[in-house]
Amino acid sequence: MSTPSSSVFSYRVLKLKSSDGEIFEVKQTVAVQSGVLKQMMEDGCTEGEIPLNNVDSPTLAKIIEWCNKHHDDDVEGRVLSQEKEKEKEKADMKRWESEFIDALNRDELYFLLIGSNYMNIKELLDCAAQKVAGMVKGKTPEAIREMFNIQSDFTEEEEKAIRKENQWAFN
Amino acid sequence: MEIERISTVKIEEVDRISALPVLLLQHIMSFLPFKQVVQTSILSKTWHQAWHSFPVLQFDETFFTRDLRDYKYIDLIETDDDDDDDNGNHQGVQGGRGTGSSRPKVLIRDTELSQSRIKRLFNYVEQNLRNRHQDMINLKKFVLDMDSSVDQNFTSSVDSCLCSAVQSGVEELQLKFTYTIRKDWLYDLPQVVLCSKSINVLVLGCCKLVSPASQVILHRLRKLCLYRVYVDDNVIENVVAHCRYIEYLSLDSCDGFKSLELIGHRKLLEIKLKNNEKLEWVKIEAPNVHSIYIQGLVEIVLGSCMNLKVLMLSMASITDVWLHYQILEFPLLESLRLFGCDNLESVTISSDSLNGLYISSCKKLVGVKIKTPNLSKFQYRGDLVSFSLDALIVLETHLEFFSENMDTEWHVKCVEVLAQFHRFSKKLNLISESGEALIVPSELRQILHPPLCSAKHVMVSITMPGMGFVIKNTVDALLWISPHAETITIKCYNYMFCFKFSYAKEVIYEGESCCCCKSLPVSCWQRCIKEVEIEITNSELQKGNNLKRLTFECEEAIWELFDRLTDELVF
Repeated sequence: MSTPSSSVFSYRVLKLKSSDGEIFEVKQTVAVQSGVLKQMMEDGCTEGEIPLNNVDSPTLAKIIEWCNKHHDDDVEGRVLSQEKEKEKEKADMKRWESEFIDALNRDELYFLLIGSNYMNIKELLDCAAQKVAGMVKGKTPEAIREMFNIQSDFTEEEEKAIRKENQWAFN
Repeated sequence: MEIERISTVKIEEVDRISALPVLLLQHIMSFLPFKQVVQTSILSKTWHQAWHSFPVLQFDETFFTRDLRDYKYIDLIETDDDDDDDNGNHQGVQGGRGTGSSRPKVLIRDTELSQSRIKRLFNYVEQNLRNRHQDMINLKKFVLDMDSSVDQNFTSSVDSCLCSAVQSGVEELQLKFTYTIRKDWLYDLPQVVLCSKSINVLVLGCCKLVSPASQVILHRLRKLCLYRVYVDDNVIENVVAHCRYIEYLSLDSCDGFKSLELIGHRKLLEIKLKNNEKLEWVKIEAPNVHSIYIQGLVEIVLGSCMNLKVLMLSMASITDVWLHYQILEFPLLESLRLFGCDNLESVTISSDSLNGLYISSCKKLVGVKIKTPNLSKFQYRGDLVSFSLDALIVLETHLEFFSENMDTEWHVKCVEVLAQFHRFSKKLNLISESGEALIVPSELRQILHPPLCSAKHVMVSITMPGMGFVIKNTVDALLWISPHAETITIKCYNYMFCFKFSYAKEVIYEGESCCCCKSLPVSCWQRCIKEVEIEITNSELQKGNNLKRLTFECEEAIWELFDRLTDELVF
């Protein structure tokens, strides 16, 4: 292993500070899933506390839970010889992901979207976005408004005009 | 953007979703069907803005589909008199919609109505493209699937859409026209598309790609799929020369080009060449390609493709020698599929890496020699040939033997081959179109030894049960092939019949006193069967709802049941 001074990954643990001031310690190997933190590590500016102004502590805890689950400590050490084993592992992960996402309430889901976007964690962002899309899918605009409590700020005429312009989609 | 949790406000009362940044809203929208994406535009101004700058425009075949508004009722008398009415109007549904009037009326498709509707739709597409171009939005994807009513009258509309999309830096472009047998008109793809520096995925269907002097510059192209496209040699050469980053190439039912030479494309992973009428010659030398599929009478030269894992050749004019030496050059080959290669006669397949082998309908084939220590799945379909399976243990074998003339000699040989595979394969699945090939004539049953003597479980698939298919006869034949099997499973369309047998006595060989078995090498099953349990499942029905379990104990009842089963199931 290289000496701490020569390695860009000189700090084994990152200290993440949530918007409400709580400190979370995360292993570098886990934190690398965040595009933002990865970039910071490569630039060598991860010393001290890293402020994450857009992520509060409950959300950050969730994000770290996700990252811990998706991180493989000994990818190289482990031999997955059987195709089936790999498939099973994949299916287990999928199940865990959907349970993780399904357990969130609307607010938590919203903050997770913001947080994973801010920290640039693509898989988590996709998973959360797909969850919202799944809630919307197949519903009429009226039902979607009701579900998310969206207030239309169009006048009746404006809405009519948009419907007319995009008529093919409202047939 | 600072975010605070407002704990005093109830979750459901706040419109959180609309507070998301537009890019995040669009990310959510990207997981929705396109039609619904458009529908979200009326939710609120935020959503409308998100739609207005949404970088994906995906008009699939349902967008242009003709609808009832293209049709109108006219008086039948009028059409009869109207002689010059031959400009593409098609007679539609006969409609007796005379409300009180005795004059019969006919519903016909009105070309003018149809054309003006399509024109409006094109205006809509163009407007959306223009909006995005004005707002300097880079298009991620533009899809335009045309209905058959989009004809040469709309060439300029399609041109204009494509120009707009290319100007907006479109990354993925899909353009498909509907295939018609009359090939009187093919859309000529404008040069501007071939010169795009942004396109990385290009999918075209039923159009024409000819390159005059100007060159193809698709530098970023990673994926090219052409279906029923007329493409000349010039374009193909240009693509090969300039698209150095291509990863996936599929040419299906294309016309025009005669040869294809892919040498040194390091990124190339997958090639599919199917049914290209004029293609005579293909040469591939790509160090990282892992899958090659070629269909048609093409001369194939495969150079050093060190990483090839999957090779599929269909109706190719390859020879025994070619195959033998070619396989030796692919040290990582995992799957080999040969279909209808009628020049093959006696093939030797030796490979240390191969784990799946599929040979089907090679008419002149007489012998197959397999030297593949790691083979796990083998499938064969065709007439009986001689197999050499030295030092082979296959996990799974699927066999379907058939011949125009399934005489006694054929059945004798078939029994031999089955016995051979029984020794080498852990799991054996027998496939037959009508079940006939599996029914060994009774006179042979007296003299031959059953091929699957120790098999406990037999799997059979009947792919096209005809009128002559009688489940009783099939079970009877299978109980000879595999005497005292514990289960016999017959798959037939969605149905699965699983017969579980338990026997009264131990497996009895020669010398048993019962009269009907005296002349047989193995005692017949009727005498010693104790109980049969039949499970019938239908994969189309929901689980738990499709199970029929029947248990029978005496011989007569079993036959009766089989008769009833056969009567009940009409295939």
